[in-house]
Amino acid sequence: MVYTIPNIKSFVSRPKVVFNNILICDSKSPLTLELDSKNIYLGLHEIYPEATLLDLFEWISFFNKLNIPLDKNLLASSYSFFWNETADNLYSQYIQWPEQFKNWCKNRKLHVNDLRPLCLLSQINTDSHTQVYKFINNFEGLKLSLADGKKILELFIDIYGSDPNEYSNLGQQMLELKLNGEQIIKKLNKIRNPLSSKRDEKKQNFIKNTNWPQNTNVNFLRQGDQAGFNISVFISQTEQKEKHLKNFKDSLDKIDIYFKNQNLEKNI
Amino acid sequence: METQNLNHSNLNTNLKTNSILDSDLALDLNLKKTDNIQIPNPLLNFDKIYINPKSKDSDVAQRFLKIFDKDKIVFTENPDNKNLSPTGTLSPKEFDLSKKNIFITPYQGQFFKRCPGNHQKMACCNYFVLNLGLQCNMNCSYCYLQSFINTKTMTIYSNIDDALKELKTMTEEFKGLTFRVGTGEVIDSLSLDPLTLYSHKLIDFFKDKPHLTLEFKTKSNLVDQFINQEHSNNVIVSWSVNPQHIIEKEEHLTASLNHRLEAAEKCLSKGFKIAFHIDPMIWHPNWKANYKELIDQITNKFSPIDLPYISLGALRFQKEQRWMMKERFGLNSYVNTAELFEGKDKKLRYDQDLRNEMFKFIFDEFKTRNPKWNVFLCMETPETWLSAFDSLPKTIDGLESLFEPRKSF
Repeated sequence: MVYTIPNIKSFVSRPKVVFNNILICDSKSPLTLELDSKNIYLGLHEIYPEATLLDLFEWISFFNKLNIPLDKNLLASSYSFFWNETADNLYSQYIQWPEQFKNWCKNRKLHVNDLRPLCLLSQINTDSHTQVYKFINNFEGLKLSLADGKKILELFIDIYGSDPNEYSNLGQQMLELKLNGEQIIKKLNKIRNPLSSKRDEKKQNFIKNTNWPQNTNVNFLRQGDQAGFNISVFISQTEQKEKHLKNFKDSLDKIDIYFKNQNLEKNI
Repeated sequence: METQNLNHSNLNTNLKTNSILDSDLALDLNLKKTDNIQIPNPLLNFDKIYINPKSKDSDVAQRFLKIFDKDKIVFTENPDNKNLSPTGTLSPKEFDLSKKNIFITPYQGQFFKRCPGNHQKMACCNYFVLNLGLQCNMNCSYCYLQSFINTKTMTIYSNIDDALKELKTMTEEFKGLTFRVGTGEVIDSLSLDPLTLYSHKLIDFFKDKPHLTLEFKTKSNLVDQFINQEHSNNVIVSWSVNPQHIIEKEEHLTASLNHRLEAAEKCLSKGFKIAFHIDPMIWHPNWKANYKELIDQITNKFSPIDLPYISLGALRFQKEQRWMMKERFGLNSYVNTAELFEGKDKKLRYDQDLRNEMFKFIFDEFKTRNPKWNVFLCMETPETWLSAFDSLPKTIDGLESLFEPRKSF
């Protein structure tokens, strides 16, 4: 039986390439080139000059299933990677990842560092991480963008890893709520960062519960490590300059009182 | 003489640390004596000492050859530093291993660099950095070396004499200017000093240059090897300090707080200036009580006259470093559960409100005990200075000279 390598390339003019009954590269040409265990690595690189670490994982896992173990170091080095503990750890996780998640990773072109949260699973002392895998297998279905998916992965593993028993159903809960990426991030963020979420919420409530001057809009804004207020005044004509300035100043005064009260609370 | 009483903490993770770091150093009372300097046994536990043949005749290499057994010494120009992980940096295990092997080699390039705070949007104190090596034999969970070390050995530079020549030229070129030179940026100033004895060379160099200030920065208590050196009151021995609870949780294999404070007392009694850096402050559920206790411990032993300044800083590190920290110290350490946001300098930091609260707390605690305490912030934005202290560093009594603008080099 002849197997074909995943995502096989096909050429018109090149010969077919085979290694241990596995079709490495297809062709309409009648010629067939047979690779052996010495030149398979160069051969793969020749046919597939650009491969990510995830592509290498896919090949290694595919060949392993056929009982043809590839030399990971040789394969990695032919693509200028160094196979070390991090790669080993990621690979041992990769073979457990559900297929849909692997597809999501491939479609979103994830970088090795984007997958580092999953490396941490090997440190977490539980029998299996079935619930984690179940959750991440929905990334494709949720149509998560690369940015949202990366953020969710990191927040989720941070929370789950801090107490795997308490958060064993976290993924299921998130899925049941039928949230989109942004909403999941918001929920997870609240669990991962309770103190700053509370501080931010306090500011948001202050905005909500304050009567702001007419034509003045006050929003909460987080810019990195700073959270504050964004004041905008709607102006349609400049004749009322004094009134606009007064509105702006009144808003600032209210914010000033808020900060002063906040400092008082801290000092009590 | 007492041994280096490094803290053997309980890593609250299932990670394994390497054998040097695992030994119960506090109980290790055996000391080896070489050239009349006692060397605590933990410093003799390195697996291999690699010596670049170019460094063979240097004082430091000769000293290592005297101290370490022959079977630990390897002469090589490249002790397997080339192979890197797929992410381009060391893996956690490789990073741990890099703490077990020393490479003595000349430093190529310019020794003197300005303090990193000077290049960013930070209010920073004029300060020059002299790197005596790279990597540290202690193991703090937040250590920023985790973000950029890519060699599998701890490096000790053998050509410190070249650095001193460079410094001499610099001081001659900019006569009349005061310089502060610190050695603890990418390697602890003193934790390997009984082996290298670089303190002797440095103190000796600074002895006839009273307009220069030398600052050692350490988390060890290894001061006995230089305590009797003649100096001209321009050497500051400084300690990065934290509450004992944080030392136990996050500053693995460092000296206990008590030992650091005792070492400081010892230095003070011999006329050295001393300083404390409460940095990085780490938020934890009982932070106020623990930091208050730290301030009690400092102020019970020392007065504002003893300490020219106390600097404050809060937890911060490069974003990319978080993986190494999580993989090495687990997800439950204070640093890995910290609520951090990307700051203006792209480092992860606590929310500015929280930083202000923490700094203001420390500042007020010192000032209520004695208004003469000089407390300033390190690597912080002007906004934080204003929020925490209501003023910028150049306008605070006792700190103006530290922040006086210098010519750039």
